[in-house]
Amino acid sequence: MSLRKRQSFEAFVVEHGPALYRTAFLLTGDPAEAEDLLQEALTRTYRRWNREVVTHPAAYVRQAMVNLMRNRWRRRVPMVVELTTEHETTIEGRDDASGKVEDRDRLARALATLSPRQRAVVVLRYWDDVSEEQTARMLGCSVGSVKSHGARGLHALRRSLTQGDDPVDLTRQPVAAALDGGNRNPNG
Amino acid sequence: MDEYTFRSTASVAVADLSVDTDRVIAGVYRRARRRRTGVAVGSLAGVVLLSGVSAVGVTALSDQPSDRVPVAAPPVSSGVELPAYQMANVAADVVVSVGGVDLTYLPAGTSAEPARREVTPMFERDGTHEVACFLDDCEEGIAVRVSRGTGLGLEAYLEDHFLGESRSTTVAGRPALATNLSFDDQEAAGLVWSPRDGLIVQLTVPTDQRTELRRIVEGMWIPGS
Repeated sequence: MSLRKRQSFEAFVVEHGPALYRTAFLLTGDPAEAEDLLQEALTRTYRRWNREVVTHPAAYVRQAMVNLMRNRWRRRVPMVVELTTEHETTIEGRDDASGKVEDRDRLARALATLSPRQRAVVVLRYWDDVSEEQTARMLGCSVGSVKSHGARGLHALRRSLTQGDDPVDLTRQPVAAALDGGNRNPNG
Repeated sequence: MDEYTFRSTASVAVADLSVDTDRVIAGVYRRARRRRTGVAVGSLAGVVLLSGVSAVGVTALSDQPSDRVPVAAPPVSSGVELPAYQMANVAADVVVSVGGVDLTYLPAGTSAEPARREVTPMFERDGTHEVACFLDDCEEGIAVRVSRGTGLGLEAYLEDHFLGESRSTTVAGRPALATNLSFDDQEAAGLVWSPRDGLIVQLTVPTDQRTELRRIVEGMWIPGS
């Protein structure tokens, strides 16, 4: 790969990597798996970057992550986690406030209750703000399917987060507050 | 919960989540280098072996093994091709057609009317996918995906569709990848191949119906072929 292409790829990762990593986390529910997923998707993108212009690279990476996840969801096998000792140390040494970590864990558990397509739709549509049409294109389904999976996904998320598997967390802030939005509705 | 509360909830939850982009870039280069210098990268076999390693929950190969932390079982061995698959060579009673591909066999209990049938344009390519899922959740039931695009071949398809653990085989003499392999690595629950240039067929069955895969494939017929 030419130096210019390499630099543009690296600039892309620096600019978009953190946001794509958060998307990867919402898809996987685990920081290490998210980094593995992002690296793998970026590797696919890098190969293509070397040969041709990737018109919408961030969208391409999201597409790659969703495709990788669909296969992993289907197989229901443990994710590949390619850890280095440096990586392991960084994760263990991360200075997260425990509340933030609990929020993340709780959200990850709730997302894990969704079907693969619901989860992909919820993350793409409502986190990444991808249009319904583009989400349909990325997932290889209809716009109607995107709408129905999105609605069901949100409903299931609300049920899981407010009534679900971990009632002890119901009183926790700020997730509970964010969920309520000042207007708790048990029917979602 | 609506989309706004989901977004605010997620924003709170991932606010402190960060990633070292230098490490990510280094990891990308390491993976890309491994594929260039590893097993027949660019060839179908290379894709098979690499994806095979990465989908069984193993620590993938590295050019710097000393800095790796193993997290799962060793890779499934590969190298021996699965038995070849054939397709029907005469027209028979068609149960259902998907994207111009006729199926003459579906397992007992499977409705011939797909629960979901969708046609979508390809992402970042010229062409279309037609998918028919015989359960509402395409991930759970039998699914047939037929992709058509000018110049579309298996390698191009695999750039956008990542199959995970897979092994090479053939369908009607054309290169194919068997996916979703059983633990003894002998039976697949998925198959993707290019019956002709510009046409890709991907078939997946539930793992508990993996023994039906061969029969479905061998009952497939492409009119005009």
